[in-house]
Amino acid sequence: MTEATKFWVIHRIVLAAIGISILVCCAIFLRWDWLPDYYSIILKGLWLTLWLLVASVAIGFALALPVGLVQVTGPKPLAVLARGFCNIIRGTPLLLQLWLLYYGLGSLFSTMPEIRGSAMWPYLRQAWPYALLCLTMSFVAYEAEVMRGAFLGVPKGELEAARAFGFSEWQVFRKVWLPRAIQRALPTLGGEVVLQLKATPLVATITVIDVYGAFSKVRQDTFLTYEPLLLLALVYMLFAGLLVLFFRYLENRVPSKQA
Amino acid sequence: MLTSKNNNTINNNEKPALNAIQIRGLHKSYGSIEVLKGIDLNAKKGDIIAIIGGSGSGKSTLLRCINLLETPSAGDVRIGGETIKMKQTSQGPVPADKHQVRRLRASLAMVFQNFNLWQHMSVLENLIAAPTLVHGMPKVAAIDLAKQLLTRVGLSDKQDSYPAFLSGGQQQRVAIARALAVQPDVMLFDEPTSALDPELVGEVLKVIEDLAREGRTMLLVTHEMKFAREVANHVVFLHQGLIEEQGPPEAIFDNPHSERLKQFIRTVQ
Repeated sequence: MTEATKFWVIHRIVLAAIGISILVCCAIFLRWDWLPDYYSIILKGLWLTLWLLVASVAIGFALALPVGLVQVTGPKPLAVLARGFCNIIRGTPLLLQLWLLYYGLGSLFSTMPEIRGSAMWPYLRQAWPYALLCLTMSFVAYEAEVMRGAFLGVPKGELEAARAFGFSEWQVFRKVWLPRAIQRALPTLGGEVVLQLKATPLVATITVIDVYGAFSKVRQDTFLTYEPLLLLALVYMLFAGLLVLFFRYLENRVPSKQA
Repeated sequence: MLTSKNNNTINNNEKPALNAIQIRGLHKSYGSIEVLKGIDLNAKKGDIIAIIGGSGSGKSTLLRCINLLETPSAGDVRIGGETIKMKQTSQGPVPADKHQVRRLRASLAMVFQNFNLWQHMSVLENLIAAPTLVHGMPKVAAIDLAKQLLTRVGLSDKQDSYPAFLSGGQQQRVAIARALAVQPDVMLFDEPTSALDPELVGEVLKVIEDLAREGRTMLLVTHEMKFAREVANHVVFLHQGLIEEQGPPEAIFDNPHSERLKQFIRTVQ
């Protein structure tokens, strides 16, 4: 069988048929006339969700590397500090952290004249910096744990080989330890990024209008339940699917026998 | 590139009494366990020294003290006439000058029991990493040299493979090529065939034998007695952290003096 005929085996055809008929039923029997009115707010929300995800993952991962590494290499006081940070963040609900920061710290800031007068105030009076900070801290804490394990899991012999050839400690890290650790952690990281995507709707609770917030607005205005929620689910599924494909591509760049 | 290196070696040989490696009073302890109890060892340029002994005799530790993968507890290690500077700390002695350590390490190359190829790099990338990063060789020249070396170890068709897809014997031959790529003054072999299936040992030994014939300075920890005898010009028998007996291979294998060496040779034959 060729690749194409192998793909169109019977169960795939049946599943595809069911999927398409559900989509068609949704399109025909449900109300979608509100879509044009909310088109732009949904797109804006989509953009915000994407932006929050990318920024929190990028900054969070960059910070997770040292926080994870220091737990492996020491020095001890820093390792304890990093460990404590991870335990606190991972031990409390993200929603709680978000509210503590925004309603707690945020309202505290507004009572302090020196902050109100500072150049940061135009940002600090908005909600999104708190959302970004919270999502980032959460990602740091979880990914530091993942990277700690990944750093530990790199065979010591490969690091020794690099040292024996005269690599500097930075070269050992940059050329062997880090890429090997990331390679080992990639499958986990992919899943964690999808989890991070699905954590983003929490920011709607502190008045940040992400894609979830946009659809909540639709629901409040139109009193519709299923239509916006189904479409929202589809949006998240598409995002998650794209992320999975992206990480699969990354994983396959270095072939490995274990996979 | 290889030719110029050989010229260097010849020039160096003209200087008398220049030791490639010189070890004086080397001690190594882990906590209260003393693994090396005072080793003196000289390797002149072109020497091929086989280090043999039972498990736990300190053979590998001795080798790893030379390139400071293990930090000696006491004693001197000189590489190419230069003593590795140490300083005392509350945790015991540590290398005093990390730049010196890097520079001296760069003049050595080690082949490990478990190959220790970098798994995220292709065979070719494994071979050019140290020459480009540590020795500042231009990438084009490094690739050129790497291809020559792969041909030499009989793996020219594997340059784009990843280590996980190679057999143990092939991985070890890549590791030897990787060691040769830095054009080292001294090669250290740490039980290079111990992790291999018996049918793969031969191909690796053959490559090492070829190198030996070129007159490279080599220190070789091995369990292959027949091989040690054929290849080495000096054999060192280690027992419980001390050199029990040393000499030319014929003397060691045919006419051992110490009771322990006699016993060791009986058990391995």
